[in-house]
Formats: sequence, C-alpha cells, structure tokens
Amino acid sequence: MTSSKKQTIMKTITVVLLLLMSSASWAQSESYAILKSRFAGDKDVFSFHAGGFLVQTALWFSGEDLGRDIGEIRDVRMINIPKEEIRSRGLRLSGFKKILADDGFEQIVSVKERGEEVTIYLQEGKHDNRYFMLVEESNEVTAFEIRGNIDPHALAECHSKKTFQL
Amino acid sequence: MKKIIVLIVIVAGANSAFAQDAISKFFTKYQNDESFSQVTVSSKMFSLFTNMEATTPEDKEVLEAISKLKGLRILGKENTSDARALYKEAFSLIPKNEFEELMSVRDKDKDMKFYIKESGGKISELVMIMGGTQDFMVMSLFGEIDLKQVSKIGHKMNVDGLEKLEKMDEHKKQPNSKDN
Repeated sequence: MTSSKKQTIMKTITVVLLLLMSSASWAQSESYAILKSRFAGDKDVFSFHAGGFLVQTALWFSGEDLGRDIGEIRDVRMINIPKEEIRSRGLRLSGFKKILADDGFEQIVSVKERGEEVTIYLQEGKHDNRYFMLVEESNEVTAFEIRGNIDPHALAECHSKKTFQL
Repeated sequence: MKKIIVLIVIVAGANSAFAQDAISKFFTKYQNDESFSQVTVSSKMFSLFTNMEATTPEDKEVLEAISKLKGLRILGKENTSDARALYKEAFSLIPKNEFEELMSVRDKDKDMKFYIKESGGKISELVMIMGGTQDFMVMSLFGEIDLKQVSKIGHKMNVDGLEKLEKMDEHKKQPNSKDN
C-alpha cells in the first residue's frame, strides 16, 4: 500500500471517529446531561458511555443470544452517584424525576424489593427510543440511559426476575 | 341545594377513585414496608406491545388484549410467617358489592382467589390474591380485560399465577375445589 493511500484511509478513519464521537455527545437526553453536568467528576461518582458495537459485543460475549433477545441497543450511558453527594447539594431524587417527566420520559415499570427500587422510563423517538433506568439503593443511585429499541418482552421480564414465583 | 350537589359530586368522585383499584388501600398501607416487594406496570408499557408484529393470529389476539390494559400492580411478601394473615386482610378489603368471585383454587399449600369487576359485559379489573404458608401476593390488573387471553398475557408478561385461569371452566364445574 502506498503512503498516500494510507494517509487517505487514516483521514477517513479520523473523520468517521470524529463523527461518531460528536453524534455520541448529543445522543444523550437532556435529563442525563443534567445529571452528568451536576455530578460527573465528583468524588466517588463513576460514569461511562459505551457505543452500540461495544454493547452488542459485550452481550455477545456474555453468551446465549442475549443481544438478539433484548433488541437493538445503540448506546448505553451509566452514572453511579452516592446518595450523600445528592444530599450534600440539597437535591432530591424526586426533583430529578420531575426533570425526567418534563423531558418526555414516561414511567413504564417500577419494581421495589428489599429496599431497592428500579424504575424504567421511556422517551419515544422517531427511530430510536430512550430508556432511562433509575436504580435506587440505600447508599447510591445508578442511572442508565439506553438508546435503541428494546423488546417489550425483555422489559416485562424486568419485574418477573425479582420475586413473585410463589 | 348547591351543598347537596357538591356533596354528591365528592361522594361520587371518592367512589370512582376507590373503584379504580380495589386493593389501593392495601398497597397504600404496605408500600413503604421494605419487607414487601412491589411491581407497577403502566399503560405505556402495555402499549409497547402494540408495535410488535404478531406472527400468528393467536399472537395477534394476545397483543390486542395486552394493548387494552391500563395497568398492573403486584404486592408480595416471601418467607413470612404472616402470609395467611395478609391473605385474609387482602381478601377482606375486596369490595364484595363491586367484585364477584371468579375462581378459587387450592394448590398444595397455596390458596388463590380471583375476583373480577364487570360492568356492561366488560371486565375492568381482575384481582388475584394468593396466600401460602410462607408466601403472599396480591395482584390487580386493570383496563379492558379479555379473560380468555389473561393466562396468555400472564405468560407474556411473566406473571405467575394467571396460568390458573386456563383451567377456569374446570374449576367452575368442580365446587369442591373452592376453599375458604
């Protein structure tokens, strides 16, 4: 391969990566952006973003046909915040739930068990939906934002994976 | 006169609010008790099933039935010594003038009761109460309910217990299967 061809390929890859990175930055919801702008970088706050390819690969590696069963996932964002960080700023989770509602997220499923509460919200889009999952535990709150189209069966399974197998 | 009208409106409003969910009181009482597990499914969740493509006519019927549901609430407690007491308490809270018993099942050590609220030939709420020696569960499914599809809905939504409704005709024919 000639050096000019190599340069062209490198340029193309760079442009594609830049495009992917820029699309990833605006792909988050306003609600998630608010959460991240307020808490990311704080002590004990952990966050990550994974693109669809990485998620699908991880699901594929996790075995079975989990990736196919769940549906299409474009990207996943996650932020874990200690409750103390929220309290120390005089904020409440109920306030954030109002932000979610104002941002067009509707609650679809809520499961509460042994002091842990998992609530899933949905923001419908033209092509992709956004799913916001809030996990409230005694000491921390974890928020997941998933963009894609999740199979409703997988969402329905969310509640049954808890108890009620009487 | 105005006072009477206001009073009637308030009473009617209170009745309709209560009628929306037979076990609301029960849920309200135990919703902050961490020893209980709770599940709430909104109508939005059910509406997601309408976007799915049905592969068979049977699937289509089930998806149509799911799309008419407005909500599902489940409250349960496992490994508890007061399962029987909770079962009796939930049972006592069912407004018997609004609900009729659909079916009663005894399966090993578990008792199950199914109640429906019917108006104009349409079922608007299905309540299932389940109590064993150690486990308890109460479930309220509301919206426009097609009883023929409920057991299949239970399968799709992974709600245990609803499959018992498949045997509804059998149980109705066997009065001995009723307990309590």
